[in-house]
Amino acid sequence: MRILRAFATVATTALVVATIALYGVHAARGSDHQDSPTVVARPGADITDVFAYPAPDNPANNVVLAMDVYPLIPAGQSSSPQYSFDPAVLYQFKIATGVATKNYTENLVIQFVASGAGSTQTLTMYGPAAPNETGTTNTLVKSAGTFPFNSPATLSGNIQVFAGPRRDPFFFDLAQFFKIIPDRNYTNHQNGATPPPATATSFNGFPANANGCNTTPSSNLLANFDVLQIAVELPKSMLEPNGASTGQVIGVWATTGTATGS
Amino acid sequence: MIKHIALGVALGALIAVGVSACSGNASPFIGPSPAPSAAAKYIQIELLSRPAVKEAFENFADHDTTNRTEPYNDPTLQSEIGTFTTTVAGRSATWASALQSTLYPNEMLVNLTSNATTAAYLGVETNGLTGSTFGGRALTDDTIKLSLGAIFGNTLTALGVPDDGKESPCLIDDHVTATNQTTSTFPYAQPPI
Repeated sequence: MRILRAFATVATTALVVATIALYGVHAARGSDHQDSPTVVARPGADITDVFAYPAPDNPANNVVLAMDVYPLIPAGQSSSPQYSFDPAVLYQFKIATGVATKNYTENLVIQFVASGAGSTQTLTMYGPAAPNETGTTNTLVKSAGTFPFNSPATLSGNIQVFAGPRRDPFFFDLAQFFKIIPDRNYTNHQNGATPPPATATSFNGFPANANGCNTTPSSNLLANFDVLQIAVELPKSMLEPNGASTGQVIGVWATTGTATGS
Repeated sequence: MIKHIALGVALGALIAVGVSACSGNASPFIGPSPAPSAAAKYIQIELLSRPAVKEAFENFADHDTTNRTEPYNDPTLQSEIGTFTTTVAGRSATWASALQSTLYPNEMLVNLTSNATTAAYLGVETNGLTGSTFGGRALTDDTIKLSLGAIFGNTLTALGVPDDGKESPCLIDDHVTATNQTTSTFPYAQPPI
């Protein structure tokens, strides 16, 4: 009830705020999708999700790393030439193999750079290899091979690679999230604007009589969008230091970078 | 709870004032494509590991800082996990500390020695309580429900964190499930629609 009372104090502005929120929902529909002005301006470098899972075709021996970029490609539009990887961007998976000893610094990288645009684009994979340098400024390691856009390929060392459009696997009632925490919607910050007050305190989809929570059906705002995905399936042994047969826990993250940092 | 949320949003908004204008619906940028030289240097502009950590806990104005730093050397993320948890979510300091130690450094943990045939987000950190000791993240993992449960629900009690009695039951689940199933062949993610 305190929630309801608190919101009553802003009731006079609720309609205006709701209008703004709805505009925002249509302009920005992501989670790590569109999470800074820099990546909003360069969607080919905007990482929306990172995955790491045992390869379904060989879970005992292989692992898949995947990163999604380029959020919010409308359904039916992924074959448009504009929806290809940004040749000015270095795409990287970074791996720390010393997590067990609290060493979280990367000591392996897998890198990708695109060339050309559209359906004739090619990508070159570099690594996996020790990075030339750790940290946020990086150079290319040894090439592992070049492969075409939107076509699974096999590189030497039993490495499978793919880079092309996929349906966005992320799912979230993002519209409701932005009503609860409007700060996270980048459109609320445009031109130095101050985000509006929250207009909701509950997610949707709760059953009736569930603590007074919203019963309005929830909605996955990413359901009808595609992304570009880089996926690599490779032997687990390539991600273990010195090919250690005992393996270990590794830390994984993905980055994008450009020559200018913009 | 709403006071916490309102306060948090207000603080976030204040911090966000002054953020440089972003380009809104700028045209997608496709840069020139010269063959990269071995000496080419690339400066990091984006980072992602665990989903919904930066996005949930960190003020929008600070995302760019996290995007440009190493996940083990972030100047803002760990403290903002604590601040968000105690102010916006209204949880105890103990709860916040547990989230900080679980989610920082901001790296997705994968146990390559696990015999599990599927991934499960936070599976390493929870010793398999989320479904698999492999950890990592599967294409269909409901990472949002897991995250909301940890922030606003009582999920962490399974890890021995004392229940602080400050759950927010209306925020523990967004009730969206995966409709996007995987395929049986590499790259396993569904084709575009």
